[in-house]
Amino acid sequence: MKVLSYLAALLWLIALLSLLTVVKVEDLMKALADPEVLYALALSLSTSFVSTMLVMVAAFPIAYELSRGSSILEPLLSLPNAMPPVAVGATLLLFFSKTPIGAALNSVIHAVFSVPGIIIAQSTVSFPLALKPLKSAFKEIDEDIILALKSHGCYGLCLLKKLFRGVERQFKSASLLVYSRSLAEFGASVTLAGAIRFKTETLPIAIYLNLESGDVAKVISLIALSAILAFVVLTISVGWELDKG
Amino acid sequence: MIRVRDFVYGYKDLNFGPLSFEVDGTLAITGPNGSGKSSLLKALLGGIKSYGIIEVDGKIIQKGKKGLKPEKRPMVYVPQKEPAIPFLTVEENLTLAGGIDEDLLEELGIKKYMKVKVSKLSGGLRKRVGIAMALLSEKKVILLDEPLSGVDPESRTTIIDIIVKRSKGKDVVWVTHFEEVVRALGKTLRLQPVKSSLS
Repeated sequence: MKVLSYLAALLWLIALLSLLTVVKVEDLMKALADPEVLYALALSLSTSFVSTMLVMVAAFPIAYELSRGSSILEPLLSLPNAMPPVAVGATLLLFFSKTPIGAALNSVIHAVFSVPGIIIAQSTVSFPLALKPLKSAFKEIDEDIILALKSHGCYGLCLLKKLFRGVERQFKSASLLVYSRSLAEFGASVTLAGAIRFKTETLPIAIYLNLESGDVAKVISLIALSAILAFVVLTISVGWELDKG
Repeated sequence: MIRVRDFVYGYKDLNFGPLSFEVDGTLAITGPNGSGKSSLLKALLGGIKSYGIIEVDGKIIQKGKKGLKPEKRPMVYVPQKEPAIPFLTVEENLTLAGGIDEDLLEELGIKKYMKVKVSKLSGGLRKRVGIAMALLSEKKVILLDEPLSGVDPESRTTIIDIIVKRSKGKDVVWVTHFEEVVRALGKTLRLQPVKSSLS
């Protein structure tokens, strides 16, 4: 079993490192300092951060409610994670551009073909990833503890604040999962926010644009950045999982 | 003073009652496993489905199915399994309950654990934290579910005395299987899986 794990990791590492044979090191270094690459990096980091904040704030109370009883809402709330991302993006695009309510909202938040659209797409797709682990964490809290807290007059916001302490580890872990998913989001973002250079150009969208124009050095630099970022986030997540104290 | 009339309550597929009883000071609840002792406390607090009339100090807090939410009832609850909030420190638990009383903490032997998370404490110490929380609360009714299980036998009498002394002016409903508690409280409601009787 252990051999298989190492073999799978090795195969993936070979695939990643073999990209370095496709491009000269100086071209890669130059591409890494390219304004377009830096713009994509900054946009990805910032939009993913905002999306993670929004998702975690919304998912926390919703996951608590879902954990206290079965709800028909859960499959609906988890739908964006099971649907093709492009279908989620198309739904959002048509909603914001073709429906009266969506169009009214779009006139305020400018979701279509702009940066807020990226945040909406990332949040929609990554939301279910926060919901499931938080719900499981809340389910582990004994009903009697909640009743005791309420008997001390602690309910509503107070209850959520106290319960946060009980699910803190899973909350941090879920927020990293949401962040990494937001960094990787492409299908829904490109459909709703478009692929516009120096405007809605996140790391995945920059990879797509530069692959189309044949700039291999830039594509590989963007892949390298995406892989490093994902690796760092996932390593922190694994570290938190191991630190169960 | 608590007045409970024609009270029926349920847990999962089991239904208990109807019960009618009064508590003026202290009441011990005893009975075999499955007789609905713990469920009675939860039902009085409004945590599980129930039907009947509950009156505290002349004020009706439940009539029929409708009643105040648990947070609005004048009752504080100490559960059997997790008597204090395990993911908070002792100090945070006590602050939540109503504040810090150095003398009480000294009496209960938990003063030196203030900064310790409750989940790191032994079962007996957790019970003491739960008892302290109940006694610090301003609520008029204290619901205790086996607060002495896990407490060493030598300390039981001391803790019974602390609870009885410190709960003066309040009503205590105490689920127990310890004879010394039954003797100390005087009045007992013995539950049976189907019937109940007030002795």
